[in-house]
Amino acid sequence: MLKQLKALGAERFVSLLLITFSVAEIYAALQLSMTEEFTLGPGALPLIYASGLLIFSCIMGLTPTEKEPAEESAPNSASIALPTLNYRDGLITFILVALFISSIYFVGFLGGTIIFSLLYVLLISKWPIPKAAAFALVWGGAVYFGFDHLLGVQLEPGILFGG
Amino acid sequence: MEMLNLLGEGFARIWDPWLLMMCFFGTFAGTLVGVLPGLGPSAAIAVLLPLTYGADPLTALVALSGIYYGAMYGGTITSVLLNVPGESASVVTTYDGYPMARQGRGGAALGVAAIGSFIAGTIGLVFLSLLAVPLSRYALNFGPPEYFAVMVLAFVMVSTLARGNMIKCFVALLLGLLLSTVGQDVVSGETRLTWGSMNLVDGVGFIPAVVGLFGLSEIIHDLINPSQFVDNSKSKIKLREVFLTWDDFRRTWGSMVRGGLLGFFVGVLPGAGATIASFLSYGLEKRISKTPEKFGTGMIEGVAGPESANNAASSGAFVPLLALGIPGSGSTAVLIGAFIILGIQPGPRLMTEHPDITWGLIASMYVGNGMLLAQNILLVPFFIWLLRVSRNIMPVIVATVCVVGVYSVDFSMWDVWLMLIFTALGYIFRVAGVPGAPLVIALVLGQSAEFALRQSLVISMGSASVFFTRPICVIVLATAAACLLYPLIRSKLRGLEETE
Repeated sequence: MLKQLKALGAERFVSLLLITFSVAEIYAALQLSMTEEFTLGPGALPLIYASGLLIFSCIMGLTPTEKEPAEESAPNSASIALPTLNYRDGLITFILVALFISSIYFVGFLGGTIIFSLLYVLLISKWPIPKAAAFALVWGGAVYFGFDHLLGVQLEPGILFGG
Repeated sequence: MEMLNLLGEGFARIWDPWLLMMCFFGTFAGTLVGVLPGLGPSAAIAVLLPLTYGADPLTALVALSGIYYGAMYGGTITSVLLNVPGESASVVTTYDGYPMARQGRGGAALGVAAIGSFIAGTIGLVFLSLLAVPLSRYALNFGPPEYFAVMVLAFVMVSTLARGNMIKCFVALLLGLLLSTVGQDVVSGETRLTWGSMNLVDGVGFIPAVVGLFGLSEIIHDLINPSQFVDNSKSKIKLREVFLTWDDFRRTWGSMVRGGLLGFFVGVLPGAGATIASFLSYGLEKRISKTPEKFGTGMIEGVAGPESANNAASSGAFVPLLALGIPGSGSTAVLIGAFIILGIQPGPRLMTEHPDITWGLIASMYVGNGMLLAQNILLVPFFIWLLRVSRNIMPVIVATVCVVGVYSVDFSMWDVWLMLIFTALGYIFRVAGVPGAPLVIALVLGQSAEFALRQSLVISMGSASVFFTRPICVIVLATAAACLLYPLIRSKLRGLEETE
């Protein structure tokens, strides 16, 4: 029941999001020409796709959620997935990844990886500080060495380290 | 005879230590991707693709393809031991595989899956070898109208056959098509839907989209919905338990062969793929069984058939991919993207212009299939141990590899931010039941479909009748219409039957 309510809320949210997006893209497509000599212009297909997206998003938002197909639930209901959803860990991880990406501009990939790894294992895996620090340094070093030296992918050094 | 010669040349090409090593790396990485939660084959291929830029195209494709079909093997372990499918094609394995594990027969389940996958995978490869050349020769008659029609068929099939509500599939498809139009128009050179942003002039890259939708969002989902191993003692599987007994083999060899044949032909259909093949195989095994009521309680045939089918389907998916350049799933869409980035246009001319690459790739799949059998028999205890110990740090590893991998495509932080946006979108889509595969396929094929359509109209001086006067076009578009209308007609008929 909770799962169905959650799905319904998410459906409505996705529907609203896509309706807004498609309206904006219809406006943008209308600024382009619809025809060219003997063929469609650059604005034609974006207009068609955006209109179709608008229609189907409205239908999705207005019609109730159908029962999920059988493949989503096994006949033996002996799953031992934990009953409570752990939104905290999911949200923290998402925020940490966003902070990781932001930090790259300042401390580069090496620094960002170390900080991200450290914060993750401290906050989510709840490791003790020495173990967390050791893992963060080893993993950060391994990623930097592997990509920058072995594979020749030049990673952003960040403003602080000469970027 | 010609096929044997070409295959022989392919084996000669692949029999190189470096290529064999890349084949092993690809299949091992694929199995890991299937075993470990968070990074599906689509995202793994997308992330590892930039790292293969400097390599020979065959080397890169051997490794990336190995990830694709290797993941079919790996997804079984989590299905059996955690009741959580490692890959969508392993969903049905949980029906009987998990009960087998609870009865202390997890090793037998994993063993029959490995052997069945090998037998069926080999069957699929033989058919691939037989069909690829004639189909690509036939497809040489294709012009822009035929290509457009085939892509429409692929879009329709992937939307009607993909998991989930059809409306939601079309939402995902149309969003992918719309995103594929962002950037510079290939015909006129005008920029479209960029909203003045220079970052969008090159369009929405499919690698950030795939990694976000199938990689990081999977990690987030797994953190929010954690799962546990079946009772600890029963998940510690000894190597000898994985080897099948003669009795188990006698019971399941028929399921393996049936799964192989069914899986291959279903896999050829765009949009059908390994997931549908595994469900159809389960249904078939249950129907012909003398004890159908026992399915769902730990029947070994319920593992053998579907696991065989999903592997054969992965071989079948290479038929439209190599011969027509049409992907059948999100993973094969990423592989098509890989071909294009490596400078090789998949399609009928692939066989004539790059026979060494095509047949080298097919030969590598035979070798890879054998490697996977060995890995999934001998390394099962290792994979289980890895799954157990890595759960605390896997999200860090996957997230870091995703960020660095996406950055290394074009050395652009914009791509990394785009990946994060698609991560949020991927999670919300998942909760709302909107599938990601139609979006990815549309993103990869959308520009090609538009180009083919506009080219067709130029050829016909602006007349749409070009699509209704060419026989192949008519047949393909009629098939697409039938696929679109069939579910609607079927539900109406069901409604009428229930009323009566």
